Amino acid sequence: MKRILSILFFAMVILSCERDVITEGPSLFDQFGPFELLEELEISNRDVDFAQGENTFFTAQFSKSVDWKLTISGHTSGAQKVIIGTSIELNAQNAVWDGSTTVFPMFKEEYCTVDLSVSTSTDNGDTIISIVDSLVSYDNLTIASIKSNDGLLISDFENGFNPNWDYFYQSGVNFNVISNNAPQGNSFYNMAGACSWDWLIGMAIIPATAYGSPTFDLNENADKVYFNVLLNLPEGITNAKLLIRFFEDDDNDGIFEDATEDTYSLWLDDLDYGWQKVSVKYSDMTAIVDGNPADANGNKIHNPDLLNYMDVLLLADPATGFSQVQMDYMIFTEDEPLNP
Amino acid sequence: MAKNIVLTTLLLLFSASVFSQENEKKFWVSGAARGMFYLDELNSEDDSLTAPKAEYGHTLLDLSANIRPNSNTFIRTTLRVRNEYGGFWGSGITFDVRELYLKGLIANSVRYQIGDMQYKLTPFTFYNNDEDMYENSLDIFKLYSDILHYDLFYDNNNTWRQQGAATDFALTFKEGIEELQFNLFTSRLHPSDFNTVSDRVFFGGNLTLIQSKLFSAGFNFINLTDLKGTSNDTTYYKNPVMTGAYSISKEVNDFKLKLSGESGISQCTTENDELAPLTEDFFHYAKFQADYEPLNLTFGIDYRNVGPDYRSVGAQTRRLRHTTQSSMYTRYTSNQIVRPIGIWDFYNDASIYNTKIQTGLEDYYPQYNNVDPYGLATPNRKGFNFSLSRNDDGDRYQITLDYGMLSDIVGQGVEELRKYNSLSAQMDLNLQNFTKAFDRKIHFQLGYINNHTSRTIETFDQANVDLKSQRVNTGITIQLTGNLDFMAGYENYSSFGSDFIAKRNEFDEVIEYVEYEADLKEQMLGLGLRYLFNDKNDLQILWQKYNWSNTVLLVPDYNFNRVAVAYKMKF
Repeated sequence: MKRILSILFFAMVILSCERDVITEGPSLFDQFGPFELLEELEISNRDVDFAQGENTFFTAQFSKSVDWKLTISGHTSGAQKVIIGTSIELNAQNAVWDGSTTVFPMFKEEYCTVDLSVSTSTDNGDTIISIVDSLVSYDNLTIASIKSNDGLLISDFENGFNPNWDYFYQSGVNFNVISNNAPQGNSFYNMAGACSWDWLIGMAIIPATAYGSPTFDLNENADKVYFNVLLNLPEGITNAKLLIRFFEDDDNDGIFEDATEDTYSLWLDDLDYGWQKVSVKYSDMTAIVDGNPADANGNKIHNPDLLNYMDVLLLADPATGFSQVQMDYMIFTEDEPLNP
Repeated sequence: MAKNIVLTTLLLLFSASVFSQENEKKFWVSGAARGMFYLDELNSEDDSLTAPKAEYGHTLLDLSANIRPNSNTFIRTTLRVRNEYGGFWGSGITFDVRELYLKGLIANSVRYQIGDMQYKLTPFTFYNNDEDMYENSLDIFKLYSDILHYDLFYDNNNTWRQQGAATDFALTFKEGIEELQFNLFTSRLHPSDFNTVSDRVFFGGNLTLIQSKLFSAGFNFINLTDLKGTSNDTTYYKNPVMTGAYSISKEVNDFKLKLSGESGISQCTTENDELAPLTEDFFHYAKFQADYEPLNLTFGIDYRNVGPDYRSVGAQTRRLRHTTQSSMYTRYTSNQIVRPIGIWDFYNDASIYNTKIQTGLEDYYPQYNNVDPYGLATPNRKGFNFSLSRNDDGDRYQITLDYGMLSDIVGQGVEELRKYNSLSAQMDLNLQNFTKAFDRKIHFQLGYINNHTSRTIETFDQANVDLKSQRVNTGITIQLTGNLDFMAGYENYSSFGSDFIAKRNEFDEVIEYVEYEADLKEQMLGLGLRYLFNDKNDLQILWQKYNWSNTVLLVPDYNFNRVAVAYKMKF
């Protein structure tokens, strides 16, 4: 009897072990089941006031989990916001729009269309039918006011040149503000030209004093500060190099001294064609000497709150001729990169 | 120069052997030799490009020097000399050291072995499972698998060939328990390249407590791990497995009863790799066996539950690699498409076999074994197996029946579980023992295997699974004269239906399911003569015909014809 009880106890211990999971791997239904749009696309807020902090979300339901794509297109601006996901439904968690932009220019106060497309496969017995980015539903909404971005705006060039900046241009080059097809607002800064005797084509110097203080009003924690700018490399330009430098007044005496204070740089020589956002955490920027990373000359600590001035230099190999980069919406943000 | 050195070495070995015979066998030579000659012919429709016939072969000598410098030490090294058919004056000849080890006894109590070694623990920790289609091999086709097994060191009771060190010793007790046995081993799977690849070692052992003839229990541990600091790579693979095993025996009247089993847990991860998950799971296995001695009848029932995330590289490494290409007749037809492989290649192509422990669950061939491709340690299986066998006292027949009822533990892609039903029947008859009418040996073999994987979901029939495979083989060996046998064999294999095969990433996680479909038919017919010089030495002349067809792949059928002459001996 004792032996039988021991064996039964042992068997119970073995059989009492259970596993939590009931399936392994991706769902076969999602992979091969039939696709159906069970609930059409719905928009929670059709007249959305982003400036007031409103947002809007989208809902739809499918018969199975699919790769879906929402494309919101501004009729006036041509801006696009793309939201993608893989799920069986769109809801307030996975399909919410805060007014930001994926494809520049940024949205204006305008009428927008919303397209919902899916990519999926269905086993049709003999064959597997795959569809890619197939439009399954659409709707529209209106932007009552555009999204505002928190941060220290250096310039959006809407009012032309900042008279408190300093500039240097080689003769014959063309550095100007253009008010046409801007990624944000109506205007942007155009830097273009050729210089056969020097790498430097032109530069803008942006002192903190232009904003009413010897240093820029930034958080002292370099991990929290992001520098953001919208840049455009026009099609066909292959030689452009953009250098943006940040000069810190480490001893806080109101004057930057190169030999004893820190300079950090952002070197951009591989921009894609078209408008794009460049965002860099301040603490990720490095000191550069002759194009190579080097130790900074000052306290070697990133101090955004001691930033005395910046400059933006357009450079190109003199032998390569004409070069061009366009710039807009230069802004410092805190805690996260710009979400334009 | 190298040939001269080898020939001189051989002469020295022989002369030393002769000398040593006078000296209580401190040194002797043993080994094996074989000569193989093949004439193969490939036939298929629409093929004007592939040379249909191939004539090839080799002669081979494995010469082992066995050295016993003292009563407690034994050293063995085997030199392999191989000459491809057509090689002459040294061309095509290769010389390899096939094995080298040293073993001995320390203080008459601790045994050790250093160098090459054969090792295994249990089917869930360290075990070399038989390859697909190996079971129930017919006499006539066994020649090829015997050669493969010998060359790849598979022919030693499901052990894996390792290079490292092993030791075992035991403690005996006066009362309470009889013996405490310790077995330990370590081997290196691959060395560091001092750059990005770390030293990878495999080690473990077991502790077995033998209380009496009636009860024993053991603890097993293995781990395969990368050694930190042996390369610049900061990620380290590791797969520790711990199991406990037991065995309880009892005799009741004419019955011998035995309950044995094993349970354990495994972990698998790559340290310092953020993407690598920690995979953990457990298994249980128990087997009850009853021998009824008056009838020589054995009945067995076993239960297993091996979790989907149970990982044990030493037990889950497959002999057969998954490949779509064979080394012989790789391409065929006028379009030179890749020739799909079949059981012909399993029997002949040594290049598709693993000789080392592999990490990760390797792909398998669902058409040949969808039930337990990784042996007893196949993850995500639970259920029962039944077996019944009888060995006739008069050596007239041997019958074995196995039936398996397994299922998934967790559904793959759906909640519904696959069912795996398997039936295997094997009969060996020695007809000369039935009646005195036969004065010559006649060995008759008949085998049948049927595997069925199924899953039915009424609301989602696209996920239904129905994959069947069936093997029928029969063979006969007739003694014509004293040492001359006639052999014949026929094997028919078919697999048809569909399943979904899990594709896994580098961490063995299922990332997608791929639809698999088969309509495979294979037949192999063989006729041959075998002359037995003695138990260790024979000459065989064989003819084989093999047909392959799989309509799902939309490639032409093909067939092979072969004439083979094989001479092999051991000494």
